[in-house]
Amino acid sequence: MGHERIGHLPGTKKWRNIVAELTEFSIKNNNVASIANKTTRNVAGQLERMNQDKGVLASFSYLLNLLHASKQRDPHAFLQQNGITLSSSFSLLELARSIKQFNQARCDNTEYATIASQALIDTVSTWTKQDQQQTSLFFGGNVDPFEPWRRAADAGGFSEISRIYFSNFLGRYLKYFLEREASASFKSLFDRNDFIERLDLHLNEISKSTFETTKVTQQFAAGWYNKNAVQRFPDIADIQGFVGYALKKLKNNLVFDLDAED
Amino acid sequence: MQKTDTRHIILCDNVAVPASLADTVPAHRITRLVNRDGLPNPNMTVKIHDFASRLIPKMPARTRDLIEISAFIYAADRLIKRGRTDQVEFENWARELVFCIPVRDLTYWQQTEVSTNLANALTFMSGDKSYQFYFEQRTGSDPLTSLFHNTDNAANASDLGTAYPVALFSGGLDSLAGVVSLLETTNTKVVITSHRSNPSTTRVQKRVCEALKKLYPGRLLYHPLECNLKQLRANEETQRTRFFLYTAVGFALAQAYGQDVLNIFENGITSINLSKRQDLINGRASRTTHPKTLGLLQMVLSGVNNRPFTIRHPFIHLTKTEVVSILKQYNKPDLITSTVTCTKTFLKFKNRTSASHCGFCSQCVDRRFAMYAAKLEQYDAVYDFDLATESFPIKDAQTHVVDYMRHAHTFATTHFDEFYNDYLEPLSDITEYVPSCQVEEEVSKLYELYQRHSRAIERAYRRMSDKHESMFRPLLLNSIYEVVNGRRFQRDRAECLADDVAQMLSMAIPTALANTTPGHENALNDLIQALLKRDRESYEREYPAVRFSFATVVPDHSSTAADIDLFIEAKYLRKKMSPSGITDQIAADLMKYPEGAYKLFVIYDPERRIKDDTRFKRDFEQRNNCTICIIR
Repeated sequence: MGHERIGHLPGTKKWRNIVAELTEFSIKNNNVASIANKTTRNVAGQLERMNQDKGVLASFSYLLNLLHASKQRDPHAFLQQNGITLSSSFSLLELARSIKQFNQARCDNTEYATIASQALIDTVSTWTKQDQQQTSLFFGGNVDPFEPWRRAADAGGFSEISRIYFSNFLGRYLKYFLEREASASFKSLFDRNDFIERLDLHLNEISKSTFETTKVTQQFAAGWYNKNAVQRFPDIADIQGFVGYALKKLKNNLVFDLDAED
Repeated sequence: MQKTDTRHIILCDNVAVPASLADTVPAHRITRLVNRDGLPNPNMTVKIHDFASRLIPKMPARTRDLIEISAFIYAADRLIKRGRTDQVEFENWARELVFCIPVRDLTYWQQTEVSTNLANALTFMSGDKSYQFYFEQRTGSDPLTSLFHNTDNAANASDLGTAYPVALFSGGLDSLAGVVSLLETTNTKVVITSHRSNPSTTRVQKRVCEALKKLYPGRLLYHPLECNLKQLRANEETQRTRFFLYTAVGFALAQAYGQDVLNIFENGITSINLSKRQDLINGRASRTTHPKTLGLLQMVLSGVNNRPFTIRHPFIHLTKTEVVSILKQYNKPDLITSTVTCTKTFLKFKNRTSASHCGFCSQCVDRRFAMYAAKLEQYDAVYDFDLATESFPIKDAQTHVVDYMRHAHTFATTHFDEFYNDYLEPLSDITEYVPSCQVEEEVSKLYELYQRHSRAIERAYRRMSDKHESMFRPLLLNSIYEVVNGRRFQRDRAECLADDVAQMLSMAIPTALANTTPGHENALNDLIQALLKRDRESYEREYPAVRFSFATVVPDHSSTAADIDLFIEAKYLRKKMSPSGITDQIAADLMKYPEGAYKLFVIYDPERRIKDDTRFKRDFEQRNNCTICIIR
């Protein structure tokens, strides 16, 4: 009981090259960007199809439901109509559980579905950290639990929370590959920890570049939200379109010499 | 039902494929399991009759069904391969399993709620995609009891219906500590059961049981159940559903002894099994004694029992070190060596013929650290690879050790709020069956558990290092000591802090001096000192083990605090000073600092007197422990 099985990356050249680069990482040789680039290239096809995965779409739908509900007169009733039941002063733990249940009800236990719901829960955690009242949100109480989500329920807030979500999603997806061989590749415990911290930093910068610096994705997100989510709840094709667009832009920024057309 | 690529149909005891499932899967994904006496080509053994015959004249039909259902599931789990460990993605590690099983109490098992509860428990425990059940009426009667393979474990009528505690007993360290604690804290007999799946496991269980009987004569009632594949080779060794079989057997035993409680013993860290790597999800996550698994199984067993049934988990808030220490507390450390924790006992150990443990699987690593932390390593088993004294034999060994230590290290520097945030997702599963009024307390207990685990690992490492490492001997390469290597660790952390400080100063100084020019180097020093003072608390929090100092006067080596890890010094490059002059100054200053300490030289060069930054920095940074930061 509790036994772990170590996974490995495939023995093909394109994956062995990544493992070789992992062994070269150190503080003096920060090759995180190159490793992230090559890993993303190796799974580019999968990333392009990600917006067809029911689990990925379910997680993003949940987020949209939460934001939309926060603007309603009766948020709980709105959520209930859309298959989400939360108590009157739900805690973050309850919210996390609800995200997973929503996902499980709409798709099988797949890898992408799990990564997507984990990424959404990370996003919930990150977003509410910005809120002064996070500690009271931990275990529920008198605080209005929808307050943090109202902040995200406009074009600007939606753009930012989407950025965080897709950055988390991509981070977990890349670690899904890289962490298998990381501990056997680095020279020290410190390098192992440092690599993950630098990878997270790199992805955060890439996502900011995608959503803020270039402005294109930010405007797209804001425009999409205003058009699709403010007046009516977006349908599955709309959500698929946005998720596909966001992942493609992030992928293109990670693999910087791919075509980067909108 | 739609066709998919990962669905398997398992037909049990000659049940035919239901009409609704016809042609939904190809023939190679239909598995036939035969256990029942009298049917041709039996390929599995479940000796319920041996197990049950001495207990009660007639085990409830529903309980017999439960044991058989769990046995069929276990057999299928062992036969149907998940996938390879070097796949790009592990999608097919999660299987879709459809079971067609004959049962005695069809009315009960056909209820939607019953099969849903069963499916939910198995899906979570195993990480498989889905479980579905088609039950049909079992025909014919059960054969009369005949063979007894444990005649000396007969249950007397006076024993049945008593309040003896009932526990699962695997032959491992945790279940041994649990049974000893029951024997020590009660005056009654203690009832235990084991699942006997292979001769090697059976030998260990028998050995430990015999040792316990000698120490506690007349106190132990042992009812093992034999269940394994027959004439079929197991293709899949994850065995995630084995615990369901094990619990079903324990439930049957508890029921026979008039109990509504079953005890399982496993330390909390192993039970909860917070993921160390992102790929350990779904089919690759081990959740056998996870609190949510136990909650889901309780629902299944309560249904079969027709009243609430509890699976007690007394060690959920204990680390492995604390569990092992129970044996020390009750003066029974000699029992330790007879237990087996290793999951690779099928390997031929090459280093030591007397070895009973491989030494590098995750279970062995956990055990070794616990033994050192509890100061019981002299009672431990013999390992083929001893991580405390030898180089890693394979990369996987390094992965297990590094991830184990890294995981523990994470908790050492995690505050409660961070713990809650970073582990929100697994905590939501762990607390699902905790009453809402107790959730906060439970999360606090779990946080404390991981803090103690972290301290235990640190203690264990220091003990290993004290006993087996020496500054007078060369460092053992490719070992736990090289990976951890304190001095390299400290220096690298100091270098990282130097980078952070350099980054901060690179942003702050140009802003602060945008409209003014410092008249003297002292003004620059004052500014840098103020900025460092402002951020000192934050640096101390992030780098708790790095001591840093800002030097305004080049220190005399003899008076320098020997334990400073990072020295920061500023230089102001103005008209009077040439770049070569600064180079000479830095070279001279480097000689005055302790060699082992890291140095950050901050050079303010507003007039761009240094033409080639890379060239200027390169010689220093490559040969010395230093970072040169040029700011304009």
